[in-house]
Amino acid sequence: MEKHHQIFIEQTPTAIAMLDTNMVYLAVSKRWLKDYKLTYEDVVGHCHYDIFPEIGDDWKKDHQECLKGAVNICEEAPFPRADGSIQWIYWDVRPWYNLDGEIGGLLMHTGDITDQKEKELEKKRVESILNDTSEIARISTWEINLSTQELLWNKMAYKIYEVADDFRPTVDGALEFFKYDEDRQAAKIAIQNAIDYGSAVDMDVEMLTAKGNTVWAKILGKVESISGVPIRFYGILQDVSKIRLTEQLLNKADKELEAIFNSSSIVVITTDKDGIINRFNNGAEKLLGYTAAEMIGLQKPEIYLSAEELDQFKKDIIIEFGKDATDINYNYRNENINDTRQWTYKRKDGTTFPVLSTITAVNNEKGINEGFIAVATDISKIKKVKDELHRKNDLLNLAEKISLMGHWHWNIVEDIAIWSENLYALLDHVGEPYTIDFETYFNMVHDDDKELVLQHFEKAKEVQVFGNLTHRIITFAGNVKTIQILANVISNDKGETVEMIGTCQDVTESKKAEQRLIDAKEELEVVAQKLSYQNKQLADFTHITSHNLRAPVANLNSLMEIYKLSENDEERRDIFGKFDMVIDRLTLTLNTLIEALKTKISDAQEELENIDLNEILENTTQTLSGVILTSGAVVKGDFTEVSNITYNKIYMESIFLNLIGNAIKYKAKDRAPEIIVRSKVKNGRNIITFRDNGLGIDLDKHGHKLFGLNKVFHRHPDAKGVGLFLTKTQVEAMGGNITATSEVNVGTTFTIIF
Amino acid sequence: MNDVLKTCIVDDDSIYRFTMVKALESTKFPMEIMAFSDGEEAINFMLDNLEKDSVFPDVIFLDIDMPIMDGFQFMEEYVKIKPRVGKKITIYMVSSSLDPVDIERANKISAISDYIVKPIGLNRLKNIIEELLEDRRS
Repeated sequence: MEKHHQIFIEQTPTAIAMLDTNMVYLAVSKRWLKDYKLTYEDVVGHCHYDIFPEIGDDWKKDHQECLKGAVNICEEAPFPRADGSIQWIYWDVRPWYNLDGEIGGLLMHTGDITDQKEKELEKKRVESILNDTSEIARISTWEINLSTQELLWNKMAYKIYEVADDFRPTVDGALEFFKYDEDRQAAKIAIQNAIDYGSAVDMDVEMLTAKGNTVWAKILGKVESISGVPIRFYGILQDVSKIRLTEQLLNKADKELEAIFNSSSIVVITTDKDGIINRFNNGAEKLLGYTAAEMIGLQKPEIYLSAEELDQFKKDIIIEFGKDATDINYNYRNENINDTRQWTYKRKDGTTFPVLSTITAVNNEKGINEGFIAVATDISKIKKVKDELHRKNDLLNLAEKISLMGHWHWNIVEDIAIWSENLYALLDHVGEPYTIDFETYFNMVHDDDKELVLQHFEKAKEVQVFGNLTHRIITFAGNVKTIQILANVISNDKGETVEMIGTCQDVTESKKAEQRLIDAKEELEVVAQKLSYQNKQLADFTHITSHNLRAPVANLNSLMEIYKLSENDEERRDIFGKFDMVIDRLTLTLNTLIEALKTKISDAQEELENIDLNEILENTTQTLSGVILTSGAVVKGDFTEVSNITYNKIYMESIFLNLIGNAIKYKAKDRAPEIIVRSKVKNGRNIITFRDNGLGIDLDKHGHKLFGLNKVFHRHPDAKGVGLFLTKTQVEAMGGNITATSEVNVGTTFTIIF
Repeated sequence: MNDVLKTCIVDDDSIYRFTMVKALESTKFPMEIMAFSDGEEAINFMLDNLEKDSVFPDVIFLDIDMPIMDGFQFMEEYVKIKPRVGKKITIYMVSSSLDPVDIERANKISAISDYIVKPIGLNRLKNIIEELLEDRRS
């Protein structure tokens, strides 16, 4: 029975194998050996798992199931082979029974379906690629059943027409999407021609989608006929909007390029591989003065370029690309040049003008130069403006230098200040300028001016007006300078102060000059005062001579007249006595005047001594001891505050003698004189006061002539009007002054300010 | 009215007073001479005799520079009492000063007839007295 099976199995045209319960081959078909590339000897008597070591545990488990009676059928499964290949197989594994009805082993029937499987996969792949392609290329398909006029769309068609998935397309309905009626009519005719003559369709139409977007579409279609009868009209519709758009853009760009090339304000010149001009546009004609006909195919750019600039250009290119210029085989033209720089072009008439030119090399795929494109614009105007700006900047610089001025710009929000070069120079800065903030500047402000500067800036920010600010600053080199700042305050649209722009001028010298002027003015004032004082003294002197010298002379004249009239000796003796009196008086006056003149003329300042006031007072009281004794006067000195004064000693003694002597002379009748002499310091000046309790003087009446020569205020026999006159002369000669306060019958106080 | 001219000298200079008196006496005109050594003495005399101005002088030779009360101060006081004085008094300001300030100041006072610079001189004095006497007679 088994033997019979064996023969049967061996002859079976399909792949079949018979195995015992130990999975050892009993018999195999020829097909099996072919399918698995085995020989009979390889197989029979060997274990299945030894022949196919790649068989996994899951299959082994299935086999065990079958040995218990199960049937395992699989229609297709990949069988990864030990050599790495995949074999697609189907199988039918079931047990066989011996005569006793027991399971004798397994019958395996397999088939190699790898070829079919691969074809199937290939188809799937192609379909998938097609789908992807139509998706990307936005190609939809359509099909019209000519007998039913039914229209079928693929998914993409729905997308292109922008209709919902449940939309039912019809032939007439589809044509409704066409934007133009003429396209619609053409399409209808095309369909008719397809039906009538089987002719194909190729048309471009513009459509409006369901959502109102414009779509350019290319429609291709052909007819399928069976036995000469057209049954199907099918084809594709491709959304070519993007392509059309790109085309349009390209068109536009092309036109723009054309416009640029034709522009009369831009020079476009190209050369060929030999350097000969092969394009010369309107702009080039207009700016260079040559016609295109004169240039193209005939001239090289050298005709309008400057030799030096061309030379420099070549050198720069060599440096830029780091090449060795001495290499004979080297040609700069082959470099990937794209250079923009200023050139000087020479017109046909020989005049020149500056241009900004971009030169681009056109190299072929081997890197060999095939020519250049030069695009240039006339920058003479720009250059002129630039030069003008440059010149003005230079002028500003110069002006700033001359006027010792700099300018600055302060962004308050970001606290960034920019200073002009001159401002740095003004503040003795050496080296590169740097950006600064308010703090940097403020730290340089002189300590005594910091408060002023801070307040000024605060106020300027607040009221948005920057008044004139002058302050001292310590420069980078440590010098003190006086600067004057003027500024404009700039606010934003919200009215907030955001910027200040201003100037800063070094006014140190003018400030010094101003100070010198002030000093000179003060000196002048002092001189003027001195002069006016001297004038007054001169006037005083005139007054004195007029009053005090004329009076005795007048008396002498009068006495002489009377003398001539006198009738007897007694009278004459009497008159002579009067002569004596007048002459005595005249002598005294003259002596006083001489004394006063000496005081005024001599430089009393030269005979200064440190004077002990107590000593002077003592000397004075000794000199006046006689009158002090007879009048019972008390003279007190209080020099605790100032005990010594540097002064002319003779004058000081004279002052004490006159004032104390006067005080005793003009004592009140009913009381003994009491005189207090006191020294003080007031407003930095030494002061001595002489206070008495004497007669006093009515200063309202006599104040104006108190210190005059020969002025007397009392009917006192000894009043001569000389003492106070001399005292005042001496005090004033030493740069001081003397004043008096008095109350009649109470006393008088003389105050001397030294 | 008697023909005696009441003449007054106000001056602190005793020599001047002496020469004036002598000079006036030498003219032999009928006159009565009084002298004061400063303005205060003179004004006091007038104030004391306000009720009987017949004793007032007809003419005053007034010095400027005097102690206690000078010539100008006297004029201030005199101007105050003048409305109460019935008698016409001619006042000459007499000074040794050539100071234009003094002269100007004197000229501004309407009560002063003239400014005379010392020494007056005998002839001038005579003329003045004669004129005054003429006036009185007319």
